[in-house]
Amino acid sequence: MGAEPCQTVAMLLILTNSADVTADYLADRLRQAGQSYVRLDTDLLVESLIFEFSAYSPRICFDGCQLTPEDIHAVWYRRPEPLKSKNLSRTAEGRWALDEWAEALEAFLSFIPKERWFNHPVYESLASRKLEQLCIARSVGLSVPDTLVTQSEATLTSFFRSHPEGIIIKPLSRGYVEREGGDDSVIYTSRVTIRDLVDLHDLESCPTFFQAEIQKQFDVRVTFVDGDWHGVKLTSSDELGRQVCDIRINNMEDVSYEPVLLPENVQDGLKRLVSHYKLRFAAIDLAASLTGDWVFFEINPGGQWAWQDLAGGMDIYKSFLRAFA
Amino acid sequence: MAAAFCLRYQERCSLGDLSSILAGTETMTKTVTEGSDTDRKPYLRAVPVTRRLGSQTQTFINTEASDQDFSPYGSRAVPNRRHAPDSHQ
Repeated sequence: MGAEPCQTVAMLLILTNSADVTADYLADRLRQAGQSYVRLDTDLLVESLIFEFSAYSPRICFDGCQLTPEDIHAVWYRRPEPLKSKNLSRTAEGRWALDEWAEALEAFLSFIPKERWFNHPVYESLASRKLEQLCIARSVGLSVPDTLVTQSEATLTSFFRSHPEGIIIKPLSRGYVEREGGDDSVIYTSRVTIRDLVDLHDLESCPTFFQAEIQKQFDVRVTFVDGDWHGVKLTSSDELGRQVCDIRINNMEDVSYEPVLLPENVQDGLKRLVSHYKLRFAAIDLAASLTGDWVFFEINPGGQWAWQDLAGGMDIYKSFLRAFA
Repeated sequence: MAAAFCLRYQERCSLGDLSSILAGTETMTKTVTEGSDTDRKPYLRAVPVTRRLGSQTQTFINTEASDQDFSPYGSRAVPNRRHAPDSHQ
């Protein structure tokens, strides 16, 4: 291939896209710490990378550097997207060629053992279903809200009546509605009121996610990085002095951050949870209720974390530096 | 028929809603944000694929059903810089 092997034998591979600001953030810290890495942005790499497979071994070459799977001691699986190329994406033949590219690169990556990944996409996929997460969390001893997904008016009405503390609604997949032209919208976790139940004609159209509302003292974001646990208390009040239903509202400008230690039983449950899913990284959402119970909401195996360093004074990046060293 | 009850709760998305938490870091020259925690992460294909029933041991290789028969879920792939950090109750 005409390129020399990289000088550093053991290399961190960051697999993401060029707009991933979290990767920017950590890459900067890696450079400051003198830790080497290779970043592959899926929207840019086709123009800059050469692939070859021969003698039963794949290699990639870019920037004059040649890498084999054996050179990769860790993969940070961040936010790869379908491959793009300004030259190839325009035509059917070009898109076919991108699929060939994808197959070649995925073949290269498949040579890297799963235990070197943060997280391997297989494990990430298996850990990414909210409803299944709730069942696993419950089985490992975590407290979870009573949950209903339904298309039935009668079932929803009954669920509402059985929870005088209130119920909430939130998206099952993602809280973002994209429109052509950029007139997008977001769907936050919201309280369901009695008025919402007057006309439920659109409920039957789509499975909809409801939970008993937890009367929260504060939200908690737990970030797990290869054995390190970072818990941060997120506090933000509404006009009535209650913890807000969804801490993301108002651009999170009203949120205050405070490191928090997890109760032993909660940490034990979370350890079992990440172990169950074989995750080396996870971002986990919980809340402490007014009665002191810690309630699990969901686990995000590819969740965001850099905002806690930058807005909340945390040092989560240090766990990544240690894990990738 | 309306698409979904949950859509009643959508709000217009302004830049302020996008949780531009990382804006202003030294690595950026414009306001961008971290993506959603719940974004599905397609792998490298133009049409992302996942294994079908029977095995979920590989999500980034072809499907069980057929070497050529992909199960696309690309409509769930969204730009990762445009969302708030996660889903909270």
